[in-house]
Amino acid sequence: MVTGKHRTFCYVCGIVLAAASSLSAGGFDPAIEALSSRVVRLFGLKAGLSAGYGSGVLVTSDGVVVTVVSLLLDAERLRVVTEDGTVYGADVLKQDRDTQLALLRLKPLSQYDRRGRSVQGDAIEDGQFSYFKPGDSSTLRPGDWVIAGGNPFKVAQGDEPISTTVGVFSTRAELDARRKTRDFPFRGEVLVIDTITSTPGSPGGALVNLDGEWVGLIGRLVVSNRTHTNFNYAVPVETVTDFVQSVLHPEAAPAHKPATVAAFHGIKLFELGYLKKLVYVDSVKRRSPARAAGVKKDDLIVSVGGKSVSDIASFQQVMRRKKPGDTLQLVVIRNEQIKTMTIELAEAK
Amino acid sequence: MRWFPIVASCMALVTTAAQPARAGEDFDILKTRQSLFHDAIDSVVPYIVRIETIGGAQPRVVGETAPPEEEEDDGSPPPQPMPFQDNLGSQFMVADGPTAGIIFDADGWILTSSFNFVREPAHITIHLTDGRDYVAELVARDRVRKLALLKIDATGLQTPEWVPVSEIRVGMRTIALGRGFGGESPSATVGIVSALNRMDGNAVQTDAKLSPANYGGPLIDLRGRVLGICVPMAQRPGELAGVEFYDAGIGFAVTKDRVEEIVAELKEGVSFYRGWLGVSINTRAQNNCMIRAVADPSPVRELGIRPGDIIATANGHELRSIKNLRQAIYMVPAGEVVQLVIRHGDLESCYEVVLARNTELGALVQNEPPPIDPANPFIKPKKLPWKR
Repeated sequence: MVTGKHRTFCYVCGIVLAAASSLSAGGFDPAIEALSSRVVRLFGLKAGLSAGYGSGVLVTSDGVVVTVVSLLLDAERLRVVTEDGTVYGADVLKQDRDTQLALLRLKPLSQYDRRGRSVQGDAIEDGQFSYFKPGDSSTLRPGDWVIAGGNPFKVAQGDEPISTTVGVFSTRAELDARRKTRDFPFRGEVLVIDTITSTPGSPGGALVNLDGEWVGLIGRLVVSNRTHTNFNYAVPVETVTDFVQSVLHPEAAPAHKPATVAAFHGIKLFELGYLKKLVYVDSVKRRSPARAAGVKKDDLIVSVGGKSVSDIASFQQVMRRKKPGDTLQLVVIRNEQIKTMTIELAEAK
Repeated sequence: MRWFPIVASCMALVTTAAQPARAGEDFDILKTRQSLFHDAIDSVVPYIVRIETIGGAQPRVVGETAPPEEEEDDGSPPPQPMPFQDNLGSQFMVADGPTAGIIFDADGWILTSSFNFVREPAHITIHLTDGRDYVAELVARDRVRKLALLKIDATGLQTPEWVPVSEIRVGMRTIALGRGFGGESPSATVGIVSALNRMDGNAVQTDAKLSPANYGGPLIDLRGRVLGICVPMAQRPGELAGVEFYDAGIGFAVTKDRVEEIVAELKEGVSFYRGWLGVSINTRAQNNCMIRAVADPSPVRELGIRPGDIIATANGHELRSIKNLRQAIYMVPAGEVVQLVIRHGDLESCYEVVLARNTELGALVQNEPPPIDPANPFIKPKKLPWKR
């Protein structure tokens, strides 16, 4: 029997529950909740550029963590701290030079009992950790909210939650950057974000969208070669997942990539002086793809395949990535006029 | 029927447990705001152009100073790009990537920031959103407000809507757009209008992150209207002043009223330069702005102002130090008038001084200027009220 009194009580319960659920952190709570249990803090070797601490993202329920390549991983005693403040050791499974990503597997730390004897900690069980399933970074549009989680300046101590910052997704762009005086090896597309993640400790953290879906991994601290400013970016989750899968399931990954053959265009560039050499055409080989496309001596090449090339080095960099058979759009300035032509690369003889 | 309330509240319990925060209306507000961002960006993208610069100066001391006395020339190329340095010693890397500008009027006038041309590039190309490419001519620069006007050979271009300056309020949402990182779409950073009438009334301040990635691009509101052109600025002169604020939440955008004041002259190829009085101030003087030396020739020397005189006010601002003087005139370009009150002993005189470019100034001298013609109508002696 439900009396009127009961009924009122039930309604009140419903209202209280509804009120409790709308006491949210401004709407960002799904994202922040998703981040705080899946981003871990790393502590390792401190030397030179390396701050000795960083962040990582759990990608399996049995404690596989993806992070960025860093000097801290070279530590003899690498420590990983999860949300509840539990400290784990970790083995580095792989550090990839091309993508500058690294994969770790957590392991229990040995503990000491009352008599000072070393005891193996509890083994890690499958299903012990919450982890991120990859989202889809291609759905991001400029202006979308993004939330970054990491441990900048190792502010979070013990079982304190990680630091999160809110910003918007700026754009997708190719990473063209350097660390100190050396070019950064990863040149793929990254997610440029409008929140400061170029701080020590943030790299390796996660970037999620408003729904809390994992879209990127905060990249290493670099300086953009285009703007010469510190670069706030995340490696798209697709690139991260490809890397994780290639380490965890090497048999599923495609075997050796076929050896690439250098592409041939037939343009000899005018080289004189140093630094910032403009991409002027010195000569074009006879019966070459460039000759067929209509490239002439003294043309100034300004863009190749949609990418602007401001110096010979950047032109060669674009060309190095192209394969024979690729067709490229070439934009040149000739007699103060813009000319666009299409060139089909051939195989180098 | 009687069981319905219990069932309903149980269901409420189940759904809240499964999706603890989705129910929050804050979340919906955020989603709505996100789509507002999209709409605003989409509506202004057609008016943003991508500017590519090719060639130009190597990093060296630039600006309006003389070249350094000794150019290092050991033949070996420096391993890394060197920072540019302006005449006040601030150093910064000038962007190498593409930059942004906006279509200012239908006949092919493109407005952007002069920051993008510090290198003095040999070629400038412009890529419109509709896919057309043009070679652009750099018509004129305003080095004080950090603007530049380019011309391309196009007509019938669509122009964006601007926010009337009187409608701009502190707290309005802003989105800064740029092309500095390359990529297919412009990059966006968001913030609010932090202050109005900054930089002597030339700019609005925003906390959207401005950097070499978006100098020259537009700052827009949530309705996709242009608030101003993003430029580096600081309360001190110099071509690179303000760049050090990048991504710090301190950014400036020049508003339309100021652009309209100068755009006719810019179109005629008239560039604006920093204005100089041609005086050196005694920094040891207490609580006043005493002239230590005067450039010969210079606008002030022609008026008979001499070392030892005290600049009491400039454009109505009372001066207590060289900092006050800089602040009073740093946004006044050469060729414009500054009103000075000069104290010479007991005499206080008003002058209207036309500022000069630093290339027009001579060396600093400390000797007396030629005697002043007492019939000079500009000099209006008057007794100091507080003089015993």
